Amino acid sequence: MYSTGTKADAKAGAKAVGSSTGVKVEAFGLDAGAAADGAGETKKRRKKGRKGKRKLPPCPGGSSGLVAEPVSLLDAAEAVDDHPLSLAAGSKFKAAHENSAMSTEILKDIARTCPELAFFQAHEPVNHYAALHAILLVYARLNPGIGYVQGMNELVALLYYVCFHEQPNQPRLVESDTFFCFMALMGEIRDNFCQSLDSTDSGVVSHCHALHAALAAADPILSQHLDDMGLNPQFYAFRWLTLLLSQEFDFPDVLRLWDSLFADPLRFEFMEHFASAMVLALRPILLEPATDFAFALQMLQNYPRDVPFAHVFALAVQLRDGMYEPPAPSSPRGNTSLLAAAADAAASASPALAAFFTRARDRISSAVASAIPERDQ
Amino acid sequence: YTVVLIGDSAVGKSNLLSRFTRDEFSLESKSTIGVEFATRSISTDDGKVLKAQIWDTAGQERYRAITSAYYRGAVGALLVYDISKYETFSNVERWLKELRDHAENHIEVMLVGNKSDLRHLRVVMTEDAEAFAQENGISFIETSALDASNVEEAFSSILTKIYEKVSRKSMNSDAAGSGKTKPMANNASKVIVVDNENDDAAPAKKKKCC
Repeated sequence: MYSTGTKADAKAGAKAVGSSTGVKVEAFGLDAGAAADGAGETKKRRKKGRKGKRKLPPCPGGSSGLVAEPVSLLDAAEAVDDHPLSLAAGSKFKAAHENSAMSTEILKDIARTCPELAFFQAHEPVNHYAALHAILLVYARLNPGIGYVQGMNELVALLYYVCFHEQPNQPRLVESDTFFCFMALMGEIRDNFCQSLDSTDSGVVSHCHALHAALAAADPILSQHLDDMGLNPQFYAFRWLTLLLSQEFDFPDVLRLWDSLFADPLRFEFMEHFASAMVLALRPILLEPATDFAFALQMLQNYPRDVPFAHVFALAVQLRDGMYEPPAPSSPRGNTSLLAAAADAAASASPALAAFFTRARDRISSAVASAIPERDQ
Repeated sequence: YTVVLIGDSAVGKSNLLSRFTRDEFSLESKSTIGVEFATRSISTDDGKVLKAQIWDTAGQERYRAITSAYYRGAVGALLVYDISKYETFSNVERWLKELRDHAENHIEVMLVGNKSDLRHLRVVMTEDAEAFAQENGISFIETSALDASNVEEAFSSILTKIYEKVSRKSMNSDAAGSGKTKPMANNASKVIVVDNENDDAAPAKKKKCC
């Protein structure tokens, strides 16, 4: 069950955007609620963001984005011992080269950020991609220990989208606000992006272990079955947890989900519940005897978009509140498959879910048909 | 057979895979985070069915530690570069080292120059890549995931090579070896070779029943 009335918003697409200011408010205390003091803070932070951008050494791509700006490196050459091939630490030329390499690397991913959203495809009157590029470049240069990591582009895009719809007429402010939100967010999850921290307590691999433990606690039968298949959460949940589940659902649903993630005072405990719920939602499919490692993994990696988001959400809330009960083990020699039973059980409460299970059954049987039959001898 | 796809980011690894497994290509595919997995079976000339499990890895340095775990147990690797980006070709050497450090000794490697449709943007000459491949004792092919040229060939050639290698090995180790291996559901790196002759219900994909 939903704890708040935001259910309608989640489905209402554009409306969810309006309400998902919550993403910002709850997460970062950036605006509105904090009144006058907050407004002053915001201004200060915006200024900081712009300053960060100006401090960057010039780069051929133009530090502010996709459009090249006239850049004079000759000024730099005035310093006597600096020259275009210098590898000295303080060389402005060297910095510019590094900057341009970084810029190109980011550009590669910017072009494939949220390709499904028309919003980002429009370059007039505001070039959103240029803004994303600038934000990521500034972040990477300010945080050389982390730099730019693939996937960050998706997180920034979400924040940017929300910020933009709050003040569509102020693109410059949107850019600084997004930058600030992104800094704050990375302050909490940057360890996900750091290779050397992978196997430490704060790294993403340990989040995968935590998910494994949570699953084992919530549903020992399913968890054991996945272990037997060799289906380790690291295989399917790596992207889920690194990118805060932003890639697994449709955009409006992700906004709704992020509202809850940031509203969680024990960040990111709810994400763990939600990720567990995603696995549990597929329980009847995963337990189906015909489901093998390959089928299960592909389904989890490309999480089916026809699983009703509300259903997963409800499961996550049950897990959070300790109300989740795994279904009782069905009769082992029963004629009806687990999936058929699940479809029947869901039929009255959620026709969409029932339809999903029925389709999944067809998918499994067609996958089995095209696979190689095992020989008896 | 487990095969890994490796190479710099944005050279088209994911699109090669989706072209091979689903005959799909997307200009707007997102960058891979971690690893992605797909399967497909092909049949060889002598009627064997080879089942391939393919791990598509992220190209970026940061994900290297995560993805190199998948090299273990892989019997083949497609090392992909982009014929229109010289840097991706010069990094091939680093990728080979990566394989030498983390993969099995006898892994079958194939160098793949992707995006061969971008003729007007070509900066890596076919001869150079060929020479490089020869020097390093690996095979070579140019593909285009966009127009689908050579994609099928690349995968089936490496799978066939692996198959030949494995069956030679099993012949050596077991003179009476029938080459039959029982598939194990829970081991990703298991060799799955099934004799096709007596299987009427087998590969629905290629074989038509009358």
